[in-house]
Amino acid sequence: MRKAVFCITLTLMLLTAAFPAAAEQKAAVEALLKSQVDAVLQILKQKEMPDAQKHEKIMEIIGPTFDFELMSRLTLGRANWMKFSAREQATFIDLFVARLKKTYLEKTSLYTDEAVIYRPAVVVGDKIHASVGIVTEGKTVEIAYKFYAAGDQWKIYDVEVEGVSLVMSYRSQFNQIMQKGTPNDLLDELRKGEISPPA
Amino acid sequence: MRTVQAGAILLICIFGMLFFSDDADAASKTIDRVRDIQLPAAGKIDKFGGPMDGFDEFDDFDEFETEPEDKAWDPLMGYNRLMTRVNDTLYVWVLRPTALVYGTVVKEPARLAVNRFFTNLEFPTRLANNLLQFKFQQAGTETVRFGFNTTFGLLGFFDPARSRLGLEPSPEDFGQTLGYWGVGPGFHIVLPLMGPSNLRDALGRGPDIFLSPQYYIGDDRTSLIISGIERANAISLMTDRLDAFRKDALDLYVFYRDAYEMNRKKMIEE
Repeated sequence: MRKAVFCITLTLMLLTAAFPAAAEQKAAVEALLKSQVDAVLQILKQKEMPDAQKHEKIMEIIGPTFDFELMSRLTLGRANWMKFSAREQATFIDLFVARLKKTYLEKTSLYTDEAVIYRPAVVVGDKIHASVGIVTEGKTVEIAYKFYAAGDQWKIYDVEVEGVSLVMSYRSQFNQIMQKGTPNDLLDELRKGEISPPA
Repeated sequence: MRTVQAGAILLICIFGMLFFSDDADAASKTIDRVRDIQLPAAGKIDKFGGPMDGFDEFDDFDEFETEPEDKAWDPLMGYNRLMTRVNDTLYVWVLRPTALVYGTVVKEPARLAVNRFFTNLEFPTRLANNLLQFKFQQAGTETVRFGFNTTFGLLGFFDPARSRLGLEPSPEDFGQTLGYWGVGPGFHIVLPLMGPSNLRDALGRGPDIFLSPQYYIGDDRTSLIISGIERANAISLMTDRLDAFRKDALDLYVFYRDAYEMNRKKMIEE
């Protein structure tokens, strides 16, 4: 009995000790996201800057925080990753990271001076999700950035727009291709690039 | 007996310490080790790590590894793929060009106003479904929004309730109401013209139609023309976004399907 009481007390003590740490980490992630978003908006608001230059500057800002490589690996998933040879894995990462960067940069052109609301971060397991609301006409679009602890730094491994996860939505498309296809089919699909834009 | 009890308590203590300590990594590693001992067959094959050594990471991000049962169940896939193609062709060759022409004739501020007008008219649907989900505060907000926008917002062409009073709309439909009360999405169905949906949401459209003012326009032709204007106007406001996301897709059907289901799931959770 005494042992049980000791055990519960110990657990409770450790539990309460863990909470301030979580609050600190949440604040750190919120601050990181805010500084990144603010910096990117700063660039997007410079209307006279050519797009190529904007894109270069934006990548400089977000590059260290977005873990594009991890995103690529998570998108493929463990089962499919195992089917790829080391060489195919490397090619996949190259192709998909380039695609992720390109699609992200393209989306930035949709931004037209909307106000941004910073939401409080939430701890989910050992990850932290921090969100922003983009105040658009008619409604506020919620974008959640999912962070994980990479050593002493917080990095983004997935983005959710209105509940639609970037990793998940590519993942099921890859699963579809891999159901019948080979790693090479998937790589070819990535090389082919995008569905032809509407005429 | 005593020793067993003491042993169990000690084990719980060790695990408790590992779990609640900041070093969550140690806890998961311990669990891994325990799992490996208990289930040698399911042990990890580190050799496959390759140059990226991605295996540890897949363990840390297993949120993506579990796929919901119902998502895999897609009995209408053949039809759905066909209808996605039909809808997409229609979008690319008819709806989008029409919307673009309409967009050059009617300037954006006017189109936004038209959109707000139609949205305002859908108030009965939002009110009913907020009430059906016991979201009384949101139902109240919707009522105030409707009253304020219909009067001061000049029949709903403007949204001073949001811009002046800061009252955000809370769109709810019958599909969400069903979801709120625990009805699962069922299998995915791509509707002609309307696009992605599922069994629950498609059935949910029924009750919502009775609440839309357009249903009570006696003349079918007038009703159709008004619906046409509403759709063209709505599409003209989303072509940019639709085009931007459409071309990210590797498999258009799977892309639309999952985006729809994930988005609806989130809307129901809120």
